[in-house]
Amino acid sequence: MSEARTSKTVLGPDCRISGELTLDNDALIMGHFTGTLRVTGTLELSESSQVSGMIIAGALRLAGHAEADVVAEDAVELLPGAQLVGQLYTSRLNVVEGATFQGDVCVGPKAIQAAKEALKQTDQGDQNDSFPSSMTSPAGSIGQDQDVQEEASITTVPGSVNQILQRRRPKVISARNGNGIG
Amino acid sequence: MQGDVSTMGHVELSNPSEMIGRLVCGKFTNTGRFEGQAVVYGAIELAGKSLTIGELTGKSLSIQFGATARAKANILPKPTLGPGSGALRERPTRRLVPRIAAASKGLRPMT
Repeated sequence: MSEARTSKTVLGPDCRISGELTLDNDALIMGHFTGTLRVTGTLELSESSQVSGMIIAGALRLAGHAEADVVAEDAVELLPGAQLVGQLYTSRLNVVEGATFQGDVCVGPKAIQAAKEALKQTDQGDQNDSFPSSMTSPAGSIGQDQDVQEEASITTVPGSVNQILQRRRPKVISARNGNGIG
Repeated sequence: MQGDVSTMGHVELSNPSEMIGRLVCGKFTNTGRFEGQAVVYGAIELAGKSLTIGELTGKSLSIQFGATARAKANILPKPTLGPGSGALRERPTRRLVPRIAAASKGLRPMT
């Protein structure tokens, strides 16, 4: 749809970034990142990558290490050797043999909406922390064609998500201020 | 059904089946509804329109589009089972036939 999607933003293995990074494109990260990472397209984290904080992406392919909360509208794929610790919100998940995932998983037609609501509650007054536009618009369409009757139970998730994000947020803020980042 | 299931085989929970309880198995495919703790020594597959709530331990995890899952997941190449999981205690043991059991002890089987 956009010209940007024909290319890919690449951050090499020698990159060390902390703070907030928004990419309106597909991206490949091979270095270290700490903070909030937003990618509207597909985010690939290579074997050498190490990410901590929050990841919001259209889709995620992880081969490296991440200690982060992940919100991916389309899908999350953990490749062999990948390690992910944190909360995960997506509509499709594939953790292949050889990958490691430890944390809470929330998958379903309303998972993205639940994560969005939780983030809104957490980030009241911080308008910059909204989802990428590509994520907000199709999110409502996810699952509308699905006759899953049980997703009502998902509505209990935002409360717990909110608590987790509130606990994590001070760490991210202190990291942004340069405390405790190597 | 409600209760615990323990097998080294493949457990497939088909739609519209429901299970509440603890499951220990070699492979788990859910196309129905599962609520509880699943300790799987191989792959966990959650098909579209399935519902899974609880705790999942396994070697790999696949959740298809349309499936609903809200769970604590522990996916490891070699699943480490916590002492509280009860998985090792629940692991089914193979009953050896006397001939094999004797052979494994280095004794000559009786004919």
